[in-house]
Amino acid sequence: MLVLTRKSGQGVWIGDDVRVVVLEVKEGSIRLGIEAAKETPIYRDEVYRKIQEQNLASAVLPEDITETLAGFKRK
Amino acid sequence: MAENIKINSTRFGDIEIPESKVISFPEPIAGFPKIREYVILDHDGEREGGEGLFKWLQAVTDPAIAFLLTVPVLFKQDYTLPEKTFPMPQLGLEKAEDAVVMVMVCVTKDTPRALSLNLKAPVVFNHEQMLATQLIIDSDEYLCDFIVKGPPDEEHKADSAREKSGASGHR
Repeated sequence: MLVLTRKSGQGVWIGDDVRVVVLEVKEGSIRLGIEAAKETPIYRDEVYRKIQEQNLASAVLPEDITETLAGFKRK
Repeated sequence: MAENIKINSTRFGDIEIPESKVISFPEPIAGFPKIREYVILDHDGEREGGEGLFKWLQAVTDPAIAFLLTVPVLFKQDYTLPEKTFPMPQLGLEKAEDAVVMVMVCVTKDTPRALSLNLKAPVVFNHEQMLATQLIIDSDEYLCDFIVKGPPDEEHKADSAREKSGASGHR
């Protein structure tokens, strides 16, 4: 992990296309501004991890899933 | 000249599919960084009488990885993507109407097991260009484990009954 120290108002470039800026430093939290193309996915850590977890669970559905689905029919 | 590719799938065995049916993910699905190509396989509708409610998103290069997808509005009538979602330049999608949106089906850990839908991270397809991505919606309104209580029609009846009685159900 690359560790840098920034003060309020200072920024960091990630590649040519992403810039992160420290907007405000308060006790216990900081406000970050992120400049990137709209298509660049940016997610809060805990949200991304939650989705990763959910995806991993979704990739290993039980073998009897077909029976469970049998109750679902388009009427 | 259409070329076929061979896919081995844990669930379906050996399959041959036209190369034109391969869907590319410019960004990999979270948790599966090495997989960029998938195909859609129909869930065996005739056997279960499912008639196309469910589809499998099968990884081309990894036989064991397949996600079960379904159409979210069948189970949550008012499901839409947030307004600012479109345009999606990474998929070449201008507006919502151009996109096909499906969600992953999971099973809950409780007993008896229930089905849940990941409404928080739908898979958005550009059907014309065979591109797709998993869009993560960073809003508490969208659940990654939305419990599905029953078949679509029963779900709607249950919802309106619940609304009339004023009870707040577990959504």
